[in-house]
Amino acid sequence: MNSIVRFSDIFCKLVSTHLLIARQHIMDQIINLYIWTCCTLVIMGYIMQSFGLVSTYGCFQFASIVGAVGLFEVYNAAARNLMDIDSDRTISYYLILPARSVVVLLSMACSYAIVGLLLTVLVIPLGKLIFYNQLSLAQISWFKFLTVAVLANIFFGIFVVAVTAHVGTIARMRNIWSRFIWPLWFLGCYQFSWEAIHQSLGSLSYIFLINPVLFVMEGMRGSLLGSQEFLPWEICCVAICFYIVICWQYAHYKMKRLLDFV
Amino acid sequence: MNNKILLKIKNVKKKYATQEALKGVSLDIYKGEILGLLGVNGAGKTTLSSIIATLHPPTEGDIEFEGKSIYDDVATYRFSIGFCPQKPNLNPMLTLEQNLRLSGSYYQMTKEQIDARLAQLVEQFGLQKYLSQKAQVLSGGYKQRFMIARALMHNPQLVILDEPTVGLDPHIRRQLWQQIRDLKQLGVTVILTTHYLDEAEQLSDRVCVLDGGLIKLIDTPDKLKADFKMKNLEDVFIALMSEGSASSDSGNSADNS
Repeated sequence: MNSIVRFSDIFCKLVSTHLLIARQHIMDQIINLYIWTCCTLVIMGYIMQSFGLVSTYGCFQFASIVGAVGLFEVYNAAARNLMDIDSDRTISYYLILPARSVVVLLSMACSYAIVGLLLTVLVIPLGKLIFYNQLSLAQISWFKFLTVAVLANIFFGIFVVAVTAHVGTIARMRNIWSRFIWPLWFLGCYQFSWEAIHQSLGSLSYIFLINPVLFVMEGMRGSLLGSQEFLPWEICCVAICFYIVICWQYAHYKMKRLLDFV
Repeated sequence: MNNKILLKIKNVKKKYATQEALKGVSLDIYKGEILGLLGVNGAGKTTLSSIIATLHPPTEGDIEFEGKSIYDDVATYRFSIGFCPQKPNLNPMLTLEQNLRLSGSYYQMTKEQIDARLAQLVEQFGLQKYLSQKAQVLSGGYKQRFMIARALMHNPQLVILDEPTVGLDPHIRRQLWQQIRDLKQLGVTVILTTHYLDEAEQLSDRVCVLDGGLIKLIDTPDKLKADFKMKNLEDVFIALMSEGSASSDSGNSADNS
């Protein structure tokens, strides 16, 4: 019991350390996110309609962006970790603190999740501003939204640790985008719903369900747009929880191999 | 130094994918002593010190701290040690004061304890000038001082210093030597990994020479000089290493013949 209290205390202090560092570039992250979101939503919500896109596609894309915010932070966060591993190795200091090594890894994941969650929430007012009449805040299920946002960002936080451990060195950093983020993003129902894949590919569409990002997108759309066309929100939450566990197991295993900690 | 064993290293081995860095090291470290770990590059000094610091696990063997295996409760053992690795790893995104304060907080120190300890270490190591700066601005000597200060923040009983003076100017080295001697005065046990034989001779109560992942010799510097009939530890070390390469050469010849 004593060690649980002590580990929790160190965990909280490590999370606050990571957040103290994250605070130094959070404004840049928000500005970058707003630029990217504005460009995407204006094009998808207004310009692409002249190419035949339905008028509701802007809101659909907005819900996808809200879900994908944490995913787009994975690259930067993993790159920072890899730079540390290849240079200062401040992580080595954390790994000899009077706690278990999992506390250190979990604190990293948790801080990425908190930052991701903050950015996710901050996209909502921007979406409302861009799609003032099309997007009704009243139709958002805030409970469902917050639940899926928390779960999604916990997953992305752990995913950062897993990607860092898998890639292992800054020299292989380019692999993060092309081998992880890009396929998860593009095959993760960012631009279409799983129903659309199902209609196009039939039973082959079930293969797409191995992609955790798909459940984040569908769950987010279910909570923000409230439509029945998406996978059930509850199934999405359960699936994200399942992927959190799998991803954590992998992250811990690979990190132990990479850093050879006690 | 007294005769109470603080740390007992029992047949520690460390294997990596392509090599065996430690081939079975057994060693007792006494409370309050400065133990110099010597050896050529690749002898296993850093591997051994990082295992003692619990940064890496051994492949085989055990380490006992005050009679108990450290692996039974690693977290508690870590309260008793301070580790200063070869390469400074202060967090570059935080000020040096934040680095030290956070270090104290991780070890469950109260704010008052942190304030008091920080003031003490700042004075002892002359760190005041740089407290509000980040680590990038520091020279090598100051980085090492901050690293040692951070390792000492929580008043550990055992401090592991892995080549703390490498690449430093001679006068900065001398200052750090004095600070290491001061640790001994305070009753702290020090494991000092070094390449510099003059440093080991000046500071160590005992020196332990590692070669190829094994302990080649362990004794006081004076005893070693007397046994080898040499004036200084550097001559002893060179003699010891030549002896090793001569015997391995003859071993190779015997194998070949």
